Amino acid sequence: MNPIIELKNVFKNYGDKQVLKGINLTINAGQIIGYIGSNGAGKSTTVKILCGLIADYEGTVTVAGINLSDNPIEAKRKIGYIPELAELYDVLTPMEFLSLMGELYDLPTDIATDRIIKMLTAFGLENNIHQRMDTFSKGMKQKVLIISGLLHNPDIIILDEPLSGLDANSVIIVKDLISKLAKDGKTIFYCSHMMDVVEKVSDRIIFINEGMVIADGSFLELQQQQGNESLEKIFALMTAKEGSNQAASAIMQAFDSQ
Amino acid sequence: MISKIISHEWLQWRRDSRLKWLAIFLVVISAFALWHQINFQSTLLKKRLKAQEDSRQEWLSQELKHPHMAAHFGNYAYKKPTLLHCFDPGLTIYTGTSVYMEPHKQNDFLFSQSQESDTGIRFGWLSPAMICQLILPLLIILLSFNSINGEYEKGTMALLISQGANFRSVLIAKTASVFLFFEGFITLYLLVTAYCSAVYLGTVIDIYAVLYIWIVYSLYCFIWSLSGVLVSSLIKSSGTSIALLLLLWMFTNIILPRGSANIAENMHPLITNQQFKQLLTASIDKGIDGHDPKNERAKKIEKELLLQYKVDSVQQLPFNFEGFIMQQSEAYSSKVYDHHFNQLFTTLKQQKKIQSLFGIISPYISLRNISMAAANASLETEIDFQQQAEHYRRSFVQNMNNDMKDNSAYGSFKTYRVRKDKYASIGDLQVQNRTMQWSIPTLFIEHISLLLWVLFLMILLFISNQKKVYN
Repeated sequence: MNPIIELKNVFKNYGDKQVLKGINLTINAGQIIGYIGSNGAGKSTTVKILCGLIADYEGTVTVAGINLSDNPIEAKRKIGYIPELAELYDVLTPMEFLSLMGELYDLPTDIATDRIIKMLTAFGLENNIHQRMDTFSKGMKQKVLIISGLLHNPDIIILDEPLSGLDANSVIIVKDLISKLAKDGKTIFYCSHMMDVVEKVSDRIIFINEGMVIADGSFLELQQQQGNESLEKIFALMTAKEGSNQAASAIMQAFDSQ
Repeated sequence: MISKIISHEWLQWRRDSRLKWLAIFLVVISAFALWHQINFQSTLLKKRLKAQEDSRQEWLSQELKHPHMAAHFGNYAYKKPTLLHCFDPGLTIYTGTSVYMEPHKQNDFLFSQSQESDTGIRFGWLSPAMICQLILPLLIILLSFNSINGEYEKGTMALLISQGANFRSVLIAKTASVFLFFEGFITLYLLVTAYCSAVYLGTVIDIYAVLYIWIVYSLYCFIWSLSGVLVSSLIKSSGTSIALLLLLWMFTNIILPRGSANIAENMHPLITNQQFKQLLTASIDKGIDGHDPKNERAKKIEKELLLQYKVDSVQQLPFNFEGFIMQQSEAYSSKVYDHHFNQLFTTLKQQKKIQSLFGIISPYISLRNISMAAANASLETEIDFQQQAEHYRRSFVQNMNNDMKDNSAYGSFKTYRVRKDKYASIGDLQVQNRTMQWSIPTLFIEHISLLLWVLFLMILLFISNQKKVYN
C-alpha cells in the first residue's frame, strides 16, 4: 500500500531551539491517527508542516505522493485542516466565509453552495447561514471551521483539537463523522489532549515527546507494551518527568510556604 | 486566487463600521478641498479678468502723455490657471498669479507672499493634492497596518495558507486590495477635479498632464500600500506596526520636508527681500541713473554719441538724447537685475536640488515637486512666469522709450505727447503656460526616487515572502 503521508527525517528549529528532531512517519490511506504530545512536544509544528504553514524545515514530507516542498499548493488540496479555535472573519456570514474557502480550493460555486448548506444544516446552523459570525458562540464558530476543512472533500483531514468548545451533541456528530470519513477511505490525523476520545476513535496512536516519536502503534499494542493502562496513564508514564501526583503535590506545597 | 482574496478583503471592509466612517471622512474632506479650490480659483479668475479688462480700458482711455510717463502707468501680467491648478495650487499660494510691471522696477514676487493670497495662505493648504499627499497615506496605513500580522494574531492566516493560498498570493492580494481601493479614489478624484476645472475655470484640457499626474500619484499610493503590508508582514504585533508606520509617515511627510528645507536654507542661504532691493539699488546707483543724465556713465555715453555722430551737442543728434539715455538706463538696470536675479535663481535651484535629493528618503517630497510641476506651479514654472513677465516689461518700456527717442525733441519732456493710436498698439502679455513636457527634464531625481522606492519595497516584500511562511 502506498503511504498517503510520509515524513522522512524532518527537523525544525526555532532559532536555537530544535523543536523536531528527525521525525519519521509513514501513514497509509484510511487510517485514523491519534497524534499526542504534551505542550511544546512538536505536535503543532508537525501539523503546521503538513498543512504547508511552515516551509523552512529539513527533511522530506510527501502528501499523496506529492513532495510538499516542490508543490505545496497541490499537496494542500489533498488536505483539510481544522485548527483549534481560530478566530474567523467575524464580520462575514458562514456562507460568505465558507464560499471564500471553496473559492480558494477552486470549487465550482454551485457545488460549494450546496455542500455549505447541507453541512451547516447537519450541524444545526441552518438558521444562521446568513448571520454575521461576530454573534456566534465559540462552538458555532468551531462548527464552521470544521466545515471549512471538509468542504473540498479532501483525502486527508487534519484535526487540531476539533472538539474544543463544541456542545455534547456536536461532539457526538464529529466523532461519528470521523469514523464515517475513515470508512470512506479518508485519512484522519487527529491531534488532541482528550485521551479518551483519541483512545476511542484512533486505530493508530503516535506519541511525540521533545521533538521525537517515542511510541507508535494501536491502543492495544501500547497497552501490551506499557501494561493494561488507560491511554492517559500510558502517556503519563512515557512522557512525564515526574508523576502527575508528585506535580500536584508540589503545587499544593507552594501554598503551604505562605 | 488573488482576486478572490481581494474581493473578500473588500467585503470585510464594507462590513466594518469604522471603515464606513473613514470613507465618509475621506469623501467629505476631499469634496470640501475641491470645492474650496474651485471656489477660490474661480473667484480669483473672475477678479483677475475684471481687473485685466479694467486695467486695459484705463490704459486705452488715459490722456495723451509723454511716453515715459505713460509707461509708468504700468501693466499687469496674469498667469492663467491650468487644468491641474485646482488640484495643486503649488507655489502660487505664495507667489500669486499676477505681477505689476513698470519702468525701472523689476518684480520681486518670488520673495513675497502673494497679495491675492489672503485666503490662499490661510486655507490654501487644503487642496486635493494635499489630501492625496498627506491624508491618503494615513488612511492607507489604517487599512494596511494589520493586513498580515492581524491575520496571524487572529489565526486566520493559518486558514488561508492551509486552504490553498500561498503566502506570496496573500501578500500580493493584501497590497493590491489596499492599493486598488485608493487607486480608485485617486482616479475618480483626479477626473472630477479636471472636469470641474475645465467647466468652472475654462481651462484647456491637457490629457497628458492628467495621465502623468495619475501615474505619479498611483506610484505614491502603491509605495504606501507596499509599506503598510511590508511592515505588517515583518512586525509580529499589529500595535507595533501601526506605531512604526505612523512614525514613518511623520518622518517622511512632516519632519523631512521641513528639515530638508532648513538644511537647504542653511547650505544655500537666501537674502531677504529688503537686502535684495538694497543690492539692486546700490548696483544701479553706482551706474546709470535714468533720470540724471549728468552722471559719469551718462557723460561717457554722451561723449561717445557726439563723437560717433560728429556733432557738438546732444540737441544736434538725429534722435532725442533723453529717450536714448532713458533706454540705456533701463538696459543697464536690466543687466544689474539679470545679474542678481540669476544669483537668486541659482540659490533657489540649489535649495530645490537639495530638497529633491531628500526625496530619495521621502517619496512625499518627490511627489510634491512633480505635482507642482504638473500643475504649472513649481519653482521652475514660477521663475519662467517671472521671466516672461520681465521680458514683456522690457519690450513694453523699450517701446515707450523708443517712441520718445525717435519722435520727440531734446528738452520736450514736459510737452511731448504720444500719438493717439500708441496705447492701442501695445497689447497685453499673453502668458504661456508651460506643458508637462517642459517640466519633466527638471524632475529627474524625483522620478528616480519614486521608482527606487517601489523597487526597494518590492525587493523587501519579496525577501519577506522568502523568509516567512508561517511561524
